[in-house]
Amino acid sequence: MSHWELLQQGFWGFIATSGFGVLFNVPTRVLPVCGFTGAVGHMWQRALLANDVHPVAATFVGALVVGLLGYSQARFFHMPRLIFTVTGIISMVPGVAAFETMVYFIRNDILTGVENAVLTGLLVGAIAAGLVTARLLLSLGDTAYTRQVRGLWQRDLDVRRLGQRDEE
Amino acid sequence: MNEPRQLSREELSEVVDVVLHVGQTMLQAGAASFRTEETMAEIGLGLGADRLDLYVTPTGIVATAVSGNEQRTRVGRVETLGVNMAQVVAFNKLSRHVSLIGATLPALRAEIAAIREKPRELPNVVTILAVGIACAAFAQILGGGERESVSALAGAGVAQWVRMVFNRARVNVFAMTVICAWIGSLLGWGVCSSVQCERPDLAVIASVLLLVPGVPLVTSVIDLTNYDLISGVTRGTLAALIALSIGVGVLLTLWITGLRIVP
Repeated sequence: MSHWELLQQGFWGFIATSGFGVLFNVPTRVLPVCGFTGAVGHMWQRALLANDVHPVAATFVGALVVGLLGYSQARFFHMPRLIFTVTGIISMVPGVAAFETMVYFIRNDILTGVENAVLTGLLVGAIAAGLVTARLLLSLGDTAYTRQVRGLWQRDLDVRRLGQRDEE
Repeated sequence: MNEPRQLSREELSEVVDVVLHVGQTMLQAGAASFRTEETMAEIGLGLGADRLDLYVTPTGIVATAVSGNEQRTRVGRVETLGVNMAQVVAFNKLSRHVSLIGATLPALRAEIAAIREKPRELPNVVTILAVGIACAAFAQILGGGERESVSALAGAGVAQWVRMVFNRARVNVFAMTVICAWIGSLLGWGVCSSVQCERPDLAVIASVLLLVPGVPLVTSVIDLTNYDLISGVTRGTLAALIALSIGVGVLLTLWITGLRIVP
């Protein structure tokens, strides 16, 4: 893949991510930021795919990049992480593979269908693993969440947490 | 933050009511369960409760607020799950404000109503156009050319318009997805045939990508990694059912047109 083709992919990734940002009603001022995050993640995935890296590994790296960028942007803009990550990974969601799986099953081509279903599951898993890895890397040493009992929120506990809160 | 004092039974009841209302709205806006819980807690504590016990799932919330010797518990159902990031951001901001500075109940109720009633960031026409262009970009990403992109733009744009109309009419989400997928893919194929594009399969697939449940899929994973197993599984199931509905809609088009998507 030439540099020009990679840039083209980045451009389309930017457009696709920004368009979905509008659909998700992302605040307008961060739309370009979401587009940028999606474009960079998409370019990483495409570049690795073009170099014969397995799609699952390429998707993992793409999602990791989206996660790292998205979490940093969430801190910078004081907004929830979800806004940047959920739009950023849109171009990697294996919608086509999932659909093909269904077509194979309906045609009674069960073996190919199962093969496709496993690949789809692995791709979704790779996105999840990429985002989670980014989160773990950026929250190393942050014990604010592990100290508290799930679902229980108390006044003193809350005050202590506020100083350490990072964006989600 | 407000100074701790014993809230009356009525005040505590109102606190639980507001907290539950915020939680329901956030879940409907597509927020992950732990984020919803955190926002609810900050608002509840900011309103003067000493302690909150919260159990949040995508379909229902149990909230208990405690102040001194009083405690109130309420259960709230969540009917529809959508996506509205601007609302998630607004509630996030509001909860910080309340937790740091505090708020009175009437003022907070007015703020919540304002967030709920705030129109979309961009007009509906722009949203339809943006979705169409995004799907046209997907046609390019999948390897299509200009003609496939134009077909996807038309199919996805109309599908999005239909989705907005059905959303206002509160049509069942799965029925809506089947119909939108069918209309979008059929129109994508129709335009593709009329401009004689080479890859009608790409045009059809790109026309329905707007329906792919990306948000429930990602929030499902976030919930699972936060050990919110019920929330994660619920959202994952929702995503799978929506994906299935898309498949049914597109298969209707394939059946009508005789198009083959996979070799």
